[in-house]
Amino acid sequence: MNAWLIAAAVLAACGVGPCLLLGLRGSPEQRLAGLNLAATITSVVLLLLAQGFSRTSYTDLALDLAVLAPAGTLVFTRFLAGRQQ
Amino acid sequence: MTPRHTLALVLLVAGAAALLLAALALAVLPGPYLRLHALSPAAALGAPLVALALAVDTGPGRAAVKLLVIGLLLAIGGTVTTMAVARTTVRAERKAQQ
Amino acid sequence: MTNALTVIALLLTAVTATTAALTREPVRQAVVLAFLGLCLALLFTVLQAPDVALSQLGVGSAITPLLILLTVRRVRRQEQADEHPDRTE
Repeated sequence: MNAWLIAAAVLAACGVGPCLLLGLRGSPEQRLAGLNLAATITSVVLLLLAQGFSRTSYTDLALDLAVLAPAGTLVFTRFLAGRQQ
Repeated sequence: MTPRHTLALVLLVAGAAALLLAALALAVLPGPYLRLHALSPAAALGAPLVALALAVDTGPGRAAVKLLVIGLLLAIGGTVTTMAVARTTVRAERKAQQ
Repeated sequence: MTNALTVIALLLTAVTATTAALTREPVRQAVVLAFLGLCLALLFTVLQAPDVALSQLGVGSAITPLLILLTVRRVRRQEQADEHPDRTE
């Protein structure tokens, strides 16, 4: 029970929740915007969890997501751009 | 409570507030273009602030540098993907108007 | 505190997984599956399984969408080549 875990819980509930609201319905482009913000907030939550559990090796998860999430989003935008032409 | 922990908590609250505000804006703002404005503050302001808070709390050393690098990566990646998503949204809206 | 975190991650996963099962269009479903990968990684981390979460992040946020989108593109291209524009659904 510390400030980091509380911040992680609040961000996971009130940060990812609105992203799901937008990301689970609507056009693919709108879902992509929700996914982008959700990836940012999730990696911050993973960082906070690493500090809250005091396991420094858990920060590798956030590093992994910070590298992979832009790659996934760029795959999506590339596909959607190719479909629109 | 040392000044360093107080500073870390202040930075944490500021970063978390930026992220929550961005999430709220994404859900509340109407229209596809306005929603895009929620993406870049979260990546360029919220994530580095939280990473800085964690680095301040950790203290000087390799772990703090790693946290700062992750914050920087999140800022760069978030900015790049925001531009890519915005470009796709503009194209989709133009195609829908035609 | 850990219990609250587990409940939050479980709720997020349940909502996202249900939506993934109910979404019919493949491209939108790929986005929902990316969401599901994020929620599952969160759940695994809360349950103290960082190695599973690490592979879930790789699979969920990069590989699954890539494979689905490549398949959709290949199928649509073949349908266009067959000249059956009424079958593009």
